[in-house]
Amino acid sequence: MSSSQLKRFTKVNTKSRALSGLVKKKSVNQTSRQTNKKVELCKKFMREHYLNVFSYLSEREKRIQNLREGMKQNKVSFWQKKKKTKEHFSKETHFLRNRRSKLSMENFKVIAKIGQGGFSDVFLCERPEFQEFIAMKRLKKDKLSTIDEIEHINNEREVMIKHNSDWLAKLFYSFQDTDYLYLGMEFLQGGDFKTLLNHLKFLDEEVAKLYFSEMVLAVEDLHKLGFIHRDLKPENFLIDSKGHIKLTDFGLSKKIDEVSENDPLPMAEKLEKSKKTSIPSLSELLKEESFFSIPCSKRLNSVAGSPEYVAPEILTRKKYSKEVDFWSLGCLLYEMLSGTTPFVGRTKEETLENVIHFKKTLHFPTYSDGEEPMSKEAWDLITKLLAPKAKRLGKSCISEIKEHPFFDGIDWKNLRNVEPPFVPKILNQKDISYFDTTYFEKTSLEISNHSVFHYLENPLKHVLSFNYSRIQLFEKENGNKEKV
Amino acid sequence: MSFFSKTKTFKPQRKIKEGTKQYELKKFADATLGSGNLHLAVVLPEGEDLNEWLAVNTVDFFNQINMLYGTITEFCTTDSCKVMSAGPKYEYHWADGQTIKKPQRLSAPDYIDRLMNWIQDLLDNENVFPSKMGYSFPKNFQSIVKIIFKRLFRVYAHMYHNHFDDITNLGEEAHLNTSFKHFMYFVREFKLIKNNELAPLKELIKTLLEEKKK
Repeated sequence: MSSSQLKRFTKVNTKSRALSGLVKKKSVNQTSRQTNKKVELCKKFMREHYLNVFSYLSEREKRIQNLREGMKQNKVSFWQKKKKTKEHFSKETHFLRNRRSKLSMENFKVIAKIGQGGFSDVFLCERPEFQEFIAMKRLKKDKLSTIDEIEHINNEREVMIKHNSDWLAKLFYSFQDTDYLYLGMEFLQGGDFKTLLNHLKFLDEEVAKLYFSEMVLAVEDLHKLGFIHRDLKPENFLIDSKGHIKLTDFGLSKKIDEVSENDPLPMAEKLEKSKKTSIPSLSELLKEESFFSIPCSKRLNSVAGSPEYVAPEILTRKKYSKEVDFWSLGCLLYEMLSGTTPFVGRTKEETLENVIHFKKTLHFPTYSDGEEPMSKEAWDLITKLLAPKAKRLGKSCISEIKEHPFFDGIDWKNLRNVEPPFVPKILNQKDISYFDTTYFEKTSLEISNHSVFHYLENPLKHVLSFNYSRIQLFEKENGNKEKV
Repeated sequence: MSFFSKTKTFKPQRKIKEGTKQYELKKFADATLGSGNLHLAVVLPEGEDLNEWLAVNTVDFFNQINMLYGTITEFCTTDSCKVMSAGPKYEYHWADGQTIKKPQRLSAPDYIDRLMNWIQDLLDNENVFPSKMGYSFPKNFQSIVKIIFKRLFRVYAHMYHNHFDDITNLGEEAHLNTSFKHFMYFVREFKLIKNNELAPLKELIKTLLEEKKK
């Protein structure tokens, strides 16, 4: 060590001691909201980190014990034992290294742009070493202006990782660079439900019933996780390669400015505002330690949702809860059966007016030839879903919806095994022919080639825990395997 | 030892005068996240490669310090902390040995910014911290890790000496203590920092780590 380096760490004389004694500090009352949020995130991060530290070690211990017990029982030879143990430890090392692995867009090959939103783009990407295709959502950090939004994304991401539902799209990767956040999600080759509807105009009731049942299950699973979607619409239901439905896009959009109940803004201004923020926000995590219940006391009252599918209580700034999603489902069922959404007007304003006065504007759809597009049961269900929130079906429990006569003959537990009405014909893993062609362009991504979690000037440095890779599954897999 | 006695026991002071920083720090040293066997958590797990273990822990401690220091950036300014120090007795000057050879006196936020960026660059460098499979660590990896730990320690030292009030006001003392305790167990287990470097927090370290001996 050079002497110059040693100098950096020296005792200083009393003069500077006096100086540093004079240093003034800000008092706590001045702590900014920003700092408080950072503290909250930091505490959560630390709690989780230490939980992980200890669970990692005990799981690791269990894994090796299980391996040894298994070998003992199966009377594995000495050399076999040695070999297996060595393999096991190299797997553990592999896991540790993966925990450090810094994912970036360099790990992915961009194939095409498959979607675009107000503040995010979606790309079909390939991870060559795994021959795996994913839908990569890229969010620009500049547009996430508040730490709240960052927190939402972070919480959202957490739920997407944790969920174990067949009806919700999975998150495989999340990482960041200097300019963007990336969410690598399951790539579902069947495209979205909107594209399907656009092609077919409307569906036979039997077909609609199957899709709608799957949608109900998806929403049920999301609610179980403590989420309200708030932006259910055809484009957020994707179709997987087997033709089943998966719900996506929970809570990634920009959160619209929170507006209180007695917000004096006139409607016109509100509309103006909502236009500016592009398609408004989706779901929001309830501010709860546990994500697994929706407490009635904690309602949300910010504006969200696509105008055609949005519940009236959201528009009138009333408190709302999970039943807003049932309203949107009602709109969706109407659309599937009739070909149009129930409240659509010539302008956005008109649509919103129609929604607010839904009691007057909701009509049984009829065709020019006089044919009726839906059964009595279907119409009954729709009117019970497009009802005032206090009377809306599903208000107390989603089983109210599932038990409606419309669903007669639906085996709720076995829907995944029923052959879907439409099974996409897929040529290969990167076939994107079921996607809206507007976005198709060979894309080269600008990659900000900086460190993955860049320090300080990066506004998101406090979402270090954002980085995630599915490699965590290795641990699970491994654990399960060795338990056998 | 029960959970309660661990958090509530008043420990006899080791001749530390009331009102001194070391005294203050000792007073709060008992507050941890109650996570227990941190001294066992640092031990190299059976069958693990030492460098791999050092590497993953380096990244973890870096992240923790990044988070913790991030919460006090509002209080640690070029005004409040004109010179990077650990209390009045210790000052740190910055040199990275490459672009800056002559140690510079910097404000704490500047110093810490450079320090963290310097570490970040190393963590991102595939030749130093290989993250892909099949690549091995450089020969001098352990000496690099030692320098990283020595520098990370200085951030803890600055936080304890100059911002412990801020930390307690934010209710983060248990988090900082847990992190630092874990850090020190790790440092001790793998002999990463020389004793003279640890001087600014000597008493605190004693207090934090002595539980284990009982």
